[in-house]
Amino acid sequence: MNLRLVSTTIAVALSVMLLGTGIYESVVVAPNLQGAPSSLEYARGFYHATNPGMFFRVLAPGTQFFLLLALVCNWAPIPLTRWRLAGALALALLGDLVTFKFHYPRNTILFSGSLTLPAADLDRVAREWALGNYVRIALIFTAVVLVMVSMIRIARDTAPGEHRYSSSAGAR
Amino acid sequence: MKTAISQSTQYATPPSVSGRMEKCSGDRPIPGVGLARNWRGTIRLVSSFLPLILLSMLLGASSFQLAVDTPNWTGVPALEHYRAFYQVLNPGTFFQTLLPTTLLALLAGLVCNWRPIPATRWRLAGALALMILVGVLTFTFHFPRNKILFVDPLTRPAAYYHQIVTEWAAGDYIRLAVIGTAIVLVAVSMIRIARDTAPKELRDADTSGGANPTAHRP
Repeated sequence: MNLRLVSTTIAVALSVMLLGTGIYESVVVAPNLQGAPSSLEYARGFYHATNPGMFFRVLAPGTQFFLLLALVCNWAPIPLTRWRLAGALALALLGDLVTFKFHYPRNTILFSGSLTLPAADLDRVAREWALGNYVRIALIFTAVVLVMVSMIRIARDTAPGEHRYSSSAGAR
Repeated sequence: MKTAISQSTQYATPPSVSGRMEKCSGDRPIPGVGLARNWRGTIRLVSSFLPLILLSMLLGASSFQLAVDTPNWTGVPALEHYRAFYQVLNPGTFFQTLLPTTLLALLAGLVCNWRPIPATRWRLAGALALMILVGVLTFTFHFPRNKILFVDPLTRPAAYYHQIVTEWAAGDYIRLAVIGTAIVLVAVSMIRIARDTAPKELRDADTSGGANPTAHRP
């Protein structure tokens, strides 16, 4: 078992899953938040058992854990890969910082507090939420690119002897 | 380390490598050959990691739906709220774009990597077949249940809808397992392709600490 490659591959899969759910929220959920207060009442009525926050509170730390594991496992061999993985981890943490500082206060307004604000203000908050989500997606996308490039580099670096020679280019 | 090994004569140069050296980096290099291989290698690599990205996105969004949406489909009022909330766009819009795109990307990956490595070809073909299976499962199993839950009038008893939601979730677990298997197949293929398309200098530079059989080359 090649821990260097396995940890990085899992980090790639999880960070892309995070990207996919972020895009899903922007494409599917965010446009439906417009039209407050009725749209928000429907959302609150629907999300009565679970809500998206519960999912992200598992996936985001899971992604960060595997990014950290990949960073630890790949600390020594290739300096460039180390910094790419460190950059990806920093971006994932920054994404969480955006969530806590920017999205959580807006989540409270949209999904928890009493809907006494004017409809225009609620729609503005929903628009801000969607804009903040684009920032989050951009951060995660950059992290995905960094981890993906690291994965390619590590795959090549950890190639067994026969793969170093078996370039099919010679067979063409 | 590399200098020490480079003096060693215990590693023989494999015929394929020496053949390549004669062809591409000998006394009379063929202009453009290295560049063409580099370009082909990049296409092969990109065509393998694009499906990996799309498949993982699909897995993420499907997991989100299973973990976040499905538990809330309990009772007729919740289904009414769901229908009322998803007025502008619904999850179907997202998946009906992402799934065909993933299938196309997998097909492109398969075409670009058809010849070089047979094992990779069959892994990518397997992933494509699995994703076609996901499409078939969606159309034949989930679409009829989607219609009952989200389109038809909610006139049946709550127990009936609960049964439909349970079936929908069970089918989604199968869908997630199939997508997960496809991700493993594509990830293994991508690793193999990354190694196969490695530039010569990376093949020669072994930072993993293992013996480097190519290091004796001048």
